[in-house]
Amino acid sequence: MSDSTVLDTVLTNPAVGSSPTGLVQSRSDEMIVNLGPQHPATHGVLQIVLGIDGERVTSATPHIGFLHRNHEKIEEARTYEQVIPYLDRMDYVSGLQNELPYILAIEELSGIEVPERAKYIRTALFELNRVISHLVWLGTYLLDLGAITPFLYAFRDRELALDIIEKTAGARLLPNYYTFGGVRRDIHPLFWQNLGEFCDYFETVIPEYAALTIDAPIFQARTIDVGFLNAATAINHGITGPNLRAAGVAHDLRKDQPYDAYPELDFDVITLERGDAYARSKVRFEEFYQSLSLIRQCIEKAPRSGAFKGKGRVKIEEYQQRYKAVEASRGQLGVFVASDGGTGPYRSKHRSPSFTNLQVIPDLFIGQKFADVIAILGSIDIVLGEVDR
Amino acid sequence: MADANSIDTSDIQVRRIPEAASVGGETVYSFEDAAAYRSFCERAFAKGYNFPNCLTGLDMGYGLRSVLNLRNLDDFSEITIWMDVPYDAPHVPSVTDIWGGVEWHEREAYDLLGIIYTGHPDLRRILLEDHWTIHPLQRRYDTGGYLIPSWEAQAWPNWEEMARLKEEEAKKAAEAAKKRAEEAKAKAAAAKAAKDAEDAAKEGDA
Repeated sequence: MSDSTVLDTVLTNPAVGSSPTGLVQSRSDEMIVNLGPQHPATHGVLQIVLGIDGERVTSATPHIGFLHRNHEKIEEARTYEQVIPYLDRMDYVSGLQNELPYILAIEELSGIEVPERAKYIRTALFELNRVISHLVWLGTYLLDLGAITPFLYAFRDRELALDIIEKTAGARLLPNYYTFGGVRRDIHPLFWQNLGEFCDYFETVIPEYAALTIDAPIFQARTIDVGFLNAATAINHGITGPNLRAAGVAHDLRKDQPYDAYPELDFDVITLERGDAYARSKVRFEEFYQSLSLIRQCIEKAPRSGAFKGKGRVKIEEYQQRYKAVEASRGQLGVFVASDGGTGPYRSKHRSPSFTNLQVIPDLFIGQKFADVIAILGSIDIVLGEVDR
Repeated sequence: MADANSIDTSDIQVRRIPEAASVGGETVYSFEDAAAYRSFCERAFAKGYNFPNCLTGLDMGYGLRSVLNLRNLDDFSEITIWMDVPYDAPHVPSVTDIWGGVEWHEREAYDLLGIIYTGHPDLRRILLEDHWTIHPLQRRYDTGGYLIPSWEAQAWPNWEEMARLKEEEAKKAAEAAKKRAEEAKAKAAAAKAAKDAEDAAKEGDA
């Protein structure tokens, strides 16, 4: 075969085109790359089937359900009180936050009053959980990007926060502490003091984290201009939390539909315009300061004496149903409860933020470089226990 | 500012559920006709209900119901839209093309409840395996006796049951002790018989 025939064959091959510069540019066949379910950067068990053309991602199909337990079926056979421990196990990184929407919904449906002091205890612990959750995100995201040290620092400081929860609720990760009308048992005497000490300490280490992460040139090179999400797509896809606020939409249920002690507290909703992976990281980072400020306001304003649990029993009429949502660390965490007048929920559906945020990843991945896939996936901040439920 | 009451429903068949049925103030619109449901969803989107909160379903006993909860990001008002379908034809029009965020929620409702969303781009099972044949959140799903409603279960600690178990255990222990004593007795008797035989043999020799 002469050289000219080889060239003719190459040029007539539909897989090979020519670039505007006149140089022959080859396109390879699409390759299928399987990411997960055992990949360490999927934070649980998630499988994504990626189509790759050269270095570009051309398709992405997520497969979930590896951790499915069907909480919703189990809850059909439990009483209202017995459901609460199951909720901790959804998003195991911030267990307390999962309990709140369900408890608020049941309190509203059965008209249980919550004492002022209990509201502040709940809110302070809710924000402490946000700090814990963002610390886990920070550590594991940096681990995904190849940095090991920030992970160790983040988990060191997370332990200090978990100690406060353990002292109060009796368990570190799955506390089962909130209950209808308040909290399950009274706080320990040094609760507010310990929270204050934690805030003072944690404020001094945030600049340390910043130097390691969002101010570090390598981190910026990996995350800036990667994985764009615009406001219109985010709203249409039901994206919430820091992912939505990084796209420029100032939607925060703590401000827009305030619950517990949030109406009396003052804080800023952090928004950025760019909507890339760096903006999402930056929003979470700024929320550290807001959470600390909220905890300090709780310490200042909380009544030092009073009941920790309101009186009243759960009694819900037939055909009552309610959708109630709170702003958890990953976004809108909602619950839909329907009652048939019995002692347990007839149907409960948990609208978890990770589940809804995860469905936008084909939009984020397609057109991006293959090496950025992990950087984008980590910036969405998913917990698979909550996705699969 | 969008107002749920300003959505024009004069030409479609809709049932407004009275406020008493929905705690929390959001308005509930109930449908049984697919075309009316779809048409109403388009109108709600046009009126500013641009954020899909949650889509789910429940087994009502006489049929299935798809429940869609929407929010307006301008004034944060919410509306709920119900669509009732019978068991033998559980077809609900998909609204994925209006709100992309309900895509996986519709797949989940199909997976767990068996509601078929017509027009959905990719209606597959999402949480369960593809070869699963039953929809587990339907009330007729047989859990094999594993899930016992807890209001029929007994209180804990159940003192009567514990006392009964204790009694049974004591009885068993007494029986075992009796058996052991009998065995020891039989063993001793056998040993004695053997010794007697030996002695008799010795006497015989002498």
